[in-house]
Amino acid sequence: MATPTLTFTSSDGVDIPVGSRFGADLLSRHLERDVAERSQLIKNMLEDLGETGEPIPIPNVSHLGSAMRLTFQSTLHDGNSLTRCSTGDDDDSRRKTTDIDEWDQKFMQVDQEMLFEIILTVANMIKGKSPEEIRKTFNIQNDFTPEEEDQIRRENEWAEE
Amino acid sequence: MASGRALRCQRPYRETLDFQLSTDVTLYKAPPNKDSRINLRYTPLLDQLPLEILHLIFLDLDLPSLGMLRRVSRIGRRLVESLPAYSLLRALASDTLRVMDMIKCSSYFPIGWLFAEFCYPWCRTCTDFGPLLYFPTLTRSCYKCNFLRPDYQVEPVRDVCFRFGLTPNDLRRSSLPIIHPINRHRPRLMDVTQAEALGTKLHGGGREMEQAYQFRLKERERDYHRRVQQWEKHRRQGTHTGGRPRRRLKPTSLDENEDSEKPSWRIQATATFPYWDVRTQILEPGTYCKACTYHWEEGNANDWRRMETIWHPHPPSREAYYRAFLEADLPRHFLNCVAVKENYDFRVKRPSDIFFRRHGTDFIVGPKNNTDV
Repeated sequence: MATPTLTFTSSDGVDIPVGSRFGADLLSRHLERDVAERSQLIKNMLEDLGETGEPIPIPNVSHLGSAMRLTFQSTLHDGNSLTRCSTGDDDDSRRKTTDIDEWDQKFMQVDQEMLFEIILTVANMIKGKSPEEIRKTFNIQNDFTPEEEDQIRRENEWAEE
Repeated sequence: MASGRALRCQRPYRETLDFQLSTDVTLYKAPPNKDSRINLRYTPLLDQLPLEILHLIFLDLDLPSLGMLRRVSRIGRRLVESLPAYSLLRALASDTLRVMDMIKCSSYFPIGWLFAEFCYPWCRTCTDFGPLLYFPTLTRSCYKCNFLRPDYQVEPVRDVCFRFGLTPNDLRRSSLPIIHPINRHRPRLMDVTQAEALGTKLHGGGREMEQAYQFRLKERERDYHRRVQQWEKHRRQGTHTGGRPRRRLKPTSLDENEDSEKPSWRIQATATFPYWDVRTQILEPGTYCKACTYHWEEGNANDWRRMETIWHPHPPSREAYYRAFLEADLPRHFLNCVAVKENYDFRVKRPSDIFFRRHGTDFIVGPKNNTDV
């Protein structure tokens, strides 16, 4: 039995290209439901919306970069078995890179050229932007206190601006 | 293999850009993060991507962009600081980063390139150790290559533009690195090879570019004669205000047909750059032969007396003085070093008018181990 597929739309009503793996089907409009549910964000939305058959509206997605981000989010298995970014000095949840399950191993057999392109795309989304623009692009909240922010800006402004 | 005395100093060359830095500035070092857990709810990108992928992305960013990312949020700051290339370069090559910032060169290159050069010991154009970084192409190099090879020739932007027929718009569109001066009275510089390649591309070939250059020269000559004629006319009428117009000089150092003098802008886009040995975790800024240094600085070199080296722009004694080594390679040098065989008493200083002498630490280097003096 074929796995049901899902489609996604941006907040402005445009179909978002997604894919279950990097490669030829990266820019497909459809994503298998079981793959999509690996993202906690999408899983929660599906539970909230139920089986409507309609495209899933994804808030705050309106350009290619965000679409790629969604692709990552949809496919990165919710980050549980891949090595995740460390969030603490003694982060016990960080697993060894050798401890990768079959799905992830298959996922990581990506087209190197495509992976390289995605890295460049994300890097280009950051390059030359101010901190505020980066926050807006990636929907990041500024959690610095004004004093911390001012201190960081002053202390390395000669080297990085 | 032989033992000998080595010298290590912070600023071995007075021509390089870092020599113009003041020594009282220290790099900001981030204090240790207090929070051991940070809420990732609001950082979807940083939350979802594995650290390895994030590091690959960061390696493609230039230093100013990483600085901006570091100011985005606490997690952003922590992630940037977790990048070994960023933290090691800031901690161990701070002078080079400061120079890059002062000459407005930081945003041309991703940190991955810079880190690759940081972890590579040899000059990219010869087999010697390379203690320098040539900024227009971000290339690790040695003094000799910077001084002699065409790959490391920089000239003022105005001369380069005139010679290769480039406009400010061409330069902006091409994103070729422009080296801004630390001393504001000096001109902006750019790499001649890069400019020539751009000019050739824009003109549709080297021959076409040359024809355009000859045309510009004739135009400039005509303009000069026109100004002279006007000046003479005003002089006859008694209404002239200034002196006779001067002929604008051709950029002769860029003209193959001219006998160019000693290149004056060499080493003006270069700074010292230590080497980081990833395997041993040792930082090597370059080690110099104390005997070769003494031989040159005390005026004992006599290359100018010998016919075979009399006209050489970089004669053997000069080359030996400027050559840097990995510490481990010095015993091989000592074995055949002419200055070592002179057995100089380094305590004897000749009063001289030399205004630059290397200041650093002496130590004995032997085939296997070394001992501080």
